[in-house]
Amino acid sequence: MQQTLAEIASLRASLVAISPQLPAQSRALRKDKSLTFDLLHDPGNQVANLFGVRFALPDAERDKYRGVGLDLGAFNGDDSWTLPLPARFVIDQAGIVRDAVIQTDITVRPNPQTGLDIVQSLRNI
Amino acid sequence: MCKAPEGPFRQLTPDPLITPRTKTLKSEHTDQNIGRTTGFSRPAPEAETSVPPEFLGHYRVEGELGRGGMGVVYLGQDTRLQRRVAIKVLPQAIARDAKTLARFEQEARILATLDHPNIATIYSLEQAEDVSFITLQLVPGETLADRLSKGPLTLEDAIDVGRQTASALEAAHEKGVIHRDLKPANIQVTPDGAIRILDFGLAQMLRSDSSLDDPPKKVTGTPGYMSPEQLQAFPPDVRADIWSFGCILYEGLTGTKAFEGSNVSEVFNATLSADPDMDRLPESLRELVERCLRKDPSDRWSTFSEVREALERAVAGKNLETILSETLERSLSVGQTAPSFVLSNSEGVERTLESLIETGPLILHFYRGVW
Repeated sequence: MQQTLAEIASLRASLVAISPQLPAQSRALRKDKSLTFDLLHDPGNQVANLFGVRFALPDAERDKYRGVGLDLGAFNGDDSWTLPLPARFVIDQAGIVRDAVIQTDITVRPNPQTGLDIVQSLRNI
Repeated sequence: MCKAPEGPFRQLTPDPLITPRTKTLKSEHTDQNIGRTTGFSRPAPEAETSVPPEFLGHYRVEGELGRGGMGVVYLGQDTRLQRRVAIKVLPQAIARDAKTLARFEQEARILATLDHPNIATIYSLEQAEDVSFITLQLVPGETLADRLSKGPLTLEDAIDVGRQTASALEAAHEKGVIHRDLKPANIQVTPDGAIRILDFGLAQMLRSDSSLDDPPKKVTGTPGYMSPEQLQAFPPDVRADIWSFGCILYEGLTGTKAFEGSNVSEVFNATLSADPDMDRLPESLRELVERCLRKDPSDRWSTFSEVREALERAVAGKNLETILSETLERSLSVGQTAPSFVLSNSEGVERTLESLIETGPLILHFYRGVW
């Protein structure tokens, strides 16, 4: 995503990433990866819920996470055991969703370049 | 459950007493939340113009929470116990009618029989200077109707609301009480996701020999949530509440009412003869809702215990793959309006949707975090 940021800025567009992880982890990530765009903290995935992409892990999956030492409750600072589906929305200045890519494989992320293409097409309208 | 926005507390909603005068009813079919135009509820004559009293007994009146056909609800302070309460006042104009007053007192007694975490608690039935009122637990948050005005619930939230509502109604039915006016405006959602069922103003005791029971052929309830048997003025039983529950669950999952129309007659006709599009529901809950909304009460679930067990089965039977695909089905689509939000970045600086789209389009990514 960071690589597309200059082009996004040249189109007067914005880029943000939203996750439930605590701000301290996001600060570390920004520093480690030299990210310059905002990483927004979504406690309990409540905004993800408004976008319809929040889901709760079933009990069996929670046990698997715990089994590998991953306590989502501690990591995210809430005990909802919810996550957002990987998703990318392009929203125009009127607040209308102009493109939506949502994936059910939670290990992958939407391609940043195609989001940029959508923004460019909006600018060309 | 999504955190409810801060706002004025709301406690009670109106008690619409629908009569068969459908031709004279207004055409607007808005939600019957207290304080909103309903077109259905009887006006509270004195309440329309009255100035809130400063005190009702030892309760200091601090504002109005809402009003409706059968009363005005005030925010109050119990000066003895030093706690905030909701005060539901029966307007004097209609309190002069002995039967109305008796029904108001019956509502209080019915509520007093119900002790359940998902039902708003009554504190007292009182009278001060010829004003009859009941004091109730003040429940923070917003009504489910307010929540649904922002869009459908997630599957997990809908199930959560369904579980709590079914549990409350199961308890009420076990006490012989049917609500008869179950709807999103009568369900309060607290900021932590708990629900409280409000307004038992139309509730009725089963097996009652009370002279307060509705006369034959009196239609009571709210269009869009009333069962076919209520519309036809047949005496409703617990399965009328199960119908209303099905309407609420359908609306919660899809964001649209199960039975709609541009006027009351169309809503009535839809209730009596149309079936909602069940394909819009997640597969895991389709059968459950469909069985709540069968026209013939004898074809429905017969108890909320059955409904609750069906909900549990629906949840237990789902694996991650099903959950993910059902979430995908419900996600925001192209052409829809993005919801407003306020979130802090990693440095604690707030960003809003409005600020982010001020100069141009926004690319917004959701991700699980780095782990």
